[in-house]
Amino acid sequence: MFYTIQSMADARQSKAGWGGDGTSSRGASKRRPAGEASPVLEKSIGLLQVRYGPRVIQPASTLSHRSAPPHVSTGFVQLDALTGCGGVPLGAITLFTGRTTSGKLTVAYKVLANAQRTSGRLAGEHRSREAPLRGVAILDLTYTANPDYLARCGVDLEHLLFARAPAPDQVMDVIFDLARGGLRLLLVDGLPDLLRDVAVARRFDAVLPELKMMLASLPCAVLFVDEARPPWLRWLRPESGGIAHCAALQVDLQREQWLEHGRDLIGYRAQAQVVRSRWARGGQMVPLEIVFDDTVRARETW
Amino acid sequence: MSVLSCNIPSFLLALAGRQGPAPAGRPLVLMGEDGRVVTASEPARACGVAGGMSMRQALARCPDLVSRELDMQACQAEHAALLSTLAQTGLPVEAQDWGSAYVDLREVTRELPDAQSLCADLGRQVRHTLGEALQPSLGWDTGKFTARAAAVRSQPGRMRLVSHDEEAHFLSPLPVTLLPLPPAALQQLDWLGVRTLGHFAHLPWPAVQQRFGPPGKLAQRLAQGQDDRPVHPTVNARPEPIEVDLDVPTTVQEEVVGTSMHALRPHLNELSARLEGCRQMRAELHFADGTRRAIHHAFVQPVCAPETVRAMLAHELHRLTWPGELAALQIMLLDVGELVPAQLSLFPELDESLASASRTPFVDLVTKLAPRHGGIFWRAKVTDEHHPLPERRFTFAQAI
Repeated sequence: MFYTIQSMADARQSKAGWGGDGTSSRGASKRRPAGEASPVLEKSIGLLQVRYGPRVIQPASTLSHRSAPPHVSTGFVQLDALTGCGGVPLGAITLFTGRTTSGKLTVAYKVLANAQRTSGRLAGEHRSREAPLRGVAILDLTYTANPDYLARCGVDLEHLLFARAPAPDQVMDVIFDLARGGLRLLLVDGLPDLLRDVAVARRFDAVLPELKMMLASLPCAVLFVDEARPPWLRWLRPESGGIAHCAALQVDLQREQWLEHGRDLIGYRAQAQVVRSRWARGGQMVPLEIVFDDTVRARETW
Repeated sequence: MSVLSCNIPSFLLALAGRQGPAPAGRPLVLMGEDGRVVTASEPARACGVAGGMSMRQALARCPDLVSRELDMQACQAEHAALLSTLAQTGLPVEAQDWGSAYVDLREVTRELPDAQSLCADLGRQVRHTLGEALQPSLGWDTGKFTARAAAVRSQPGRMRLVSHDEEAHFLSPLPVTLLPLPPAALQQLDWLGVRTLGHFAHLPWPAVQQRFGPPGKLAQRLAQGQDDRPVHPTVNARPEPIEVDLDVPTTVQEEVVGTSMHALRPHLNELSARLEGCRQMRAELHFADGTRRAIHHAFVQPVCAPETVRAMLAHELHRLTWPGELAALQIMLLDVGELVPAQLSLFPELDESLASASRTPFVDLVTKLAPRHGGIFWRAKVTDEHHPLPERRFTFAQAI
């Protein structure tokens, strides 16, 4: 029988060269049948369970696999696969970064559209069998949200709420209230404008862990869209790492090339890199193709 | 001043409805002789159909559309019946838009209680003459514009009397499109965010005059309730003819049109500055051989734009068979009255979105959060997805 603590115990034994009962581990394994714990180990486990409770140490065979959380698809199959959780996770913070015209906002709008379309029980959602259709919201810090482009991305404007916070101090309160308001997804556009003020950035970093903890109990995703700053500006003003630290998923987008049909631009190809994911290995990249044709749609790249 | 405005809402459509309503409540438009939309019913306007569109443009916006020819003779007959009914009282009557007229009550009464009974009598007479389908809505005030606004805001068969004290309060929330300004000026006001008469009235007058000229200054006075324009009796009135002398008798049409417009332009500019236009034009042509011919043209809406008058004159002279060289002509601008406001309800799409907000799932959320955060929550709607300017394709409205 293997216990979750056993690997650590084995490491100690191999380092010291002694078994728990004073004999070498090689000799002990010869004398005991496979799968049977030594009496010393069982005694230690018993002591731990008496002191800290029966769930402090459990057999590894009883642990379930880490399942994917409730999520919303990004609309790009390959990117969904790369995130490890099937898209943008609910109940967590997600961060999209990228330079201007890298396509981060378009991908974010696609996520909004998918969040609206996902009716009833979400993929990976186990808490409620029949979740009601919820709306989505955009916290438009730059006042540049374009409803026409949103509609072309497939977002239903009937189920979309715009919030325009007049003061930076008000932003975090609005995020908390909207996240608690039963929304499926909240998109915060224009993070650089918010963090330009040092005092606001400091407060933002301070309340992020609180937001992260609150979201863990809510079926709501908060998606921040951040602008990647050039290196020289990063050297002048070090950027706060609070959002990157608290984000369960961070995706960086870079525009690779424009797609042309004759002399017309019909879209662009971008590279999406999963910088950080709680459910998958980071650093993997995938190409995305976004095509404009009255509507904005994702094109599979294989 | 004591002015009664008598207004029959949707006069042309109501007349067309006498021939039979549109099948199954489908959108209806009336087409003029030139093949363009004269007026459209409310469902058609909701689809984006507007006056001046061709049938193809209207059908593109509303495929379900039913069109009918405008019966100009019937319209003129009913309009004349309305004017004669009002003129039977012996009071000065000024004709306005189709189914609309001013009556000067200054000689009879200047007090609100007396005016109330008199207006009720006039309304009953008009209803008796024209029938229930064409019963008017009445408005009374000391100025023409406020009286007209009151008539427009009241229901058919009702009247709204505005006392002098409540003029500003009454006018302030009304849409700025009630002003008879040209569409370009109204569009500028829309871009500037000036949407109510109260907002327009409080703008600095030098700025208004600089941007919109004398018509803008007059419009601002109207918005402030300072309308001192008298009622010009137009029923049974014969205006002064405008003499156009040609130096040398000619058969060149362009020369005649150019000379005529040279004589007409000051009169049209004067009408434009007063926010007025003429609905009919009559021209008598004297040819060198002693022959006389007459041209009579009725406009669907009051006109003061020289381009429109020039096009009409060229068209009518082209249709006429000239017996010889033209020596002189006399032109009369008939049925002079106020220009018609571009639209009577402002931004219907916003009103609709506000009305539909109660059906959206955000009402509870916004109602809960608005007291804490203020009016920061908005809804958006794409109004014209093909507009060349991207920022004009959508509108924002408060979420609650």
